[in-house]
Amino acid sequence: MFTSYIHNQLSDDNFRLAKMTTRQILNVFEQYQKARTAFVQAVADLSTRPQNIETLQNAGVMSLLRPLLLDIVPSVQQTAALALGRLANYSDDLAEAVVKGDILPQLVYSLAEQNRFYKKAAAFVLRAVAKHSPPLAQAVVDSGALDALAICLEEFDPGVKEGAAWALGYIARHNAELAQSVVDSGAVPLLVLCIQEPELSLKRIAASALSDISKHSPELAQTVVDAGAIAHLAQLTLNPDAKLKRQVFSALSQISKHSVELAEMVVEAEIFPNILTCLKDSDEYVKKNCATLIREIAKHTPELAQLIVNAGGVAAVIDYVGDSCGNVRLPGIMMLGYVAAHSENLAMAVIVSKGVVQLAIALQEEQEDHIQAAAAWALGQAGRHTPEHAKAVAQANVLPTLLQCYLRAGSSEDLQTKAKKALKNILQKCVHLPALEPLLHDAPPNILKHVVAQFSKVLPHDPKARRLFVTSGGLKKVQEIKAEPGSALMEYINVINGCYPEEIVRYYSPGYSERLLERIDNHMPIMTQ
Amino acid sequence: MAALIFIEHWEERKTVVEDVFAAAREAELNRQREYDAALHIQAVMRGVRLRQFIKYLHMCAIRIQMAWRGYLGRIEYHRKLADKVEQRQLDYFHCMATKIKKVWKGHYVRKNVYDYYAMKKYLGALEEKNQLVRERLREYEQEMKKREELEAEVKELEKYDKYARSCHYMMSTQVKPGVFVKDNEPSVFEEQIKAVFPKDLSKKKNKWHKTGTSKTVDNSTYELPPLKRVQGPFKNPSVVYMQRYKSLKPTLKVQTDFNTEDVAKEKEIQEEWCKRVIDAKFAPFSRMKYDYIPSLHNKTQFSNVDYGTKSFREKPVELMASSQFKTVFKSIPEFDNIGEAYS
Repeated sequence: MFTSYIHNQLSDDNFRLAKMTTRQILNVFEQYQKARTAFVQAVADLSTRPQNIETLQNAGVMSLLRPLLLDIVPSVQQTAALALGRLANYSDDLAEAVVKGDILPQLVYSLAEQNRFYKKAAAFVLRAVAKHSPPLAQAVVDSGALDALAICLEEFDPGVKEGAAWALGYIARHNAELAQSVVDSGAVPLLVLCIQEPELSLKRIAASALSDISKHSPELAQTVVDAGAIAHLAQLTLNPDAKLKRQVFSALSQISKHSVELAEMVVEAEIFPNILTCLKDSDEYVKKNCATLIREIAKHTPELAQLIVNAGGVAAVIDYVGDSCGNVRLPGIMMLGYVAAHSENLAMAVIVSKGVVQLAIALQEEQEDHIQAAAAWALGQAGRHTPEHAKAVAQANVLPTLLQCYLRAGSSEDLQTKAKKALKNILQKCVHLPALEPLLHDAPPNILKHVVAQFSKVLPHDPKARRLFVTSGGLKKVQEIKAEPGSALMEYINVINGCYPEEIVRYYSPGYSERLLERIDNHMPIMTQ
Repeated sequence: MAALIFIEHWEERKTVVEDVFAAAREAELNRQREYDAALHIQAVMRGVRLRQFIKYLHMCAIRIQMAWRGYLGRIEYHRKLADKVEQRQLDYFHCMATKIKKVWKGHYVRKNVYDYYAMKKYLGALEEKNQLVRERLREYEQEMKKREELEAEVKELEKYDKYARSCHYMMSTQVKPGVFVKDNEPSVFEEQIKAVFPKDLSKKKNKWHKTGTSKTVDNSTYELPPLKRVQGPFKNPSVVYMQRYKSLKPTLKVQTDFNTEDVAKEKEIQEEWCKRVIDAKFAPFSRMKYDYIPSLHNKTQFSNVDYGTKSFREKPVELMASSQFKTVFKSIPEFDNIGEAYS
């Protein structure tokens, strides 16, 4: 009995000992798992700060994270993917390191297999890699990510869809080939479906992706249109969310910028006059993108421009140009220029809606050359049609400003050519002499030519103007011009001189007083005795 | 008598001769003169006659010329007249054409190129429209601004409430005035703290009310936290609440009348009668009478070729007669109706 007791006791001890060892062994594993989790989380946290990233990179974080992507614990996998994504998001080099580390195929593989959290993280990594440059995006495409991402778009979870749409948008952003490959993966109809989802952020990202796809070529835009995107995008223009509206307007403008047909499709979605209210939005980018959309539509044909004018779009855009400043103003200015360029009626509509005044203000206020150049171009388009147009433009006191833009030493070449062309266009039609007078005094010869030409056209037929021309000192100025004999300028001057009696011309020509004095010297006095 | 006369003359014969000679002499003397005179006279006479003739010829020529010239003149006149008339007509036509052209050009230009008045009208309308659009946009902007301000205000208020809620422990008690009380006068903020419902209680409710989501449990079911320890494994309060306040759901039998079935049948019949297109009763095919309409295939005179269907081999002679059996007894009438009853 005792022996049996002892035996029992012994076996019990053995058993306990064995149990101890299993626990210890498991404990090791547990510790290892905890350590992995802690490490991955710490790396993910550290990689949120840009200043840490160089140190992390030097510490060889890439090679450490890569095996953790294949970890058996899902949370470690996800966090590793998140950390990778943050690192790749930070810089081009790190993204390239991700590509070179052959991590992408692994991610793509798991994108199809794993749960939604991991999918989200994987889509994040792909997005972060693809965003930097076309070669990196191409590497993502080559790893077969597009199909997996397109499948993710069919996922139930909005977060996964969001991530996939975002990645697809970043891939398509770079160039037409990449966008074409995104289209070939069949993602466009799914993106259009994503727009119709209730989640705002998903809508935003899907609209942005569609915008990125359709910006490259008419064919790509046509595929987006064929998927029925326009009707849904047009509905979203009335959404109160500003960020969504930005993307929607961007997408619509990217679609309509390519061809007349696409622009007409966008117009047929009955976006006018509702989108005009968005020009008064509190968000700057909504305003800008909305104005861009209107510009892209207006630039195609006179009919489309007329439609916008009839909807009161010109007045709204002019108000918008007056309210905003800087780069936000640019699309509005260009839209006015396009509308005015189409026909004289449309130019007149711009003038009647007080567009010229706003353009003149923009030309004076803006500091940046490219905006000034756009304003100068728009003014030139508004004033080039008939004398009436030119008069309306000249009365806004635009000509001196344009001249100043042309002559200013610091202005860019583009601004100079645009200002010169605008001046030339307006001057060739302008018969409003009071506006031309000041240019006689400070214009360079190549502009002066046009000014004098206008005088030579008007003066022979207008006695009052002839008189005014003399009294205001114009004739004197004309006599002082040094024109080469035989040039066009000389001819114009001769025409002007022909309108006046010879004495007056001689009186105003330079050196007249000396000649008179010479005559005194040469005069022989008549002696009377 | 004659003799007498002869005598007389005889006597005078000498004188006569003398006379004759004298006359001859005289004649000889005057003959040249007379000849000249006669010549002269003849010359004059002929001259006169010739002149007369020439004059006559001239007159004739004049006549002819007159007629000819008159003829030519008339031709010329007619030509000129025609020209003139034509010119005048042409002028008239040109004038009219100008008028037509003027009207047409005006119409065309106004229609297709540029219509000043239409343009003026259009620009006027455009200005009005612009005014309208600007006004609407301004209104819209103001509205949006107001809404934003309202939202900001609400947010501010919420923030204030939150802050006040967080400061509840600085409220004055009956014994001691709170932090915000100055000179024993109740401050506004203290009132605010009092007005704000302590939020934590609702959180506590959630703790106690574990599965109570905000949808199923509204304010009416709000219960105070238990004072005593809860006894026993009770049913989930939300389930109890649902049972307690569930709406009356009578069975279909209770809901409907006793004769609903009959009514429904009647209604169905009525509806069927309304919707029926053909009132004629449906008759089975066996009772239907219709003319035999031969198909196109049957009508044709070109029948099928026997080849392939007919065998040309010799058939074995049928040993048995065609009518081997004869019905001896009458048929059973029920069996005759079999086909008709089911068709």
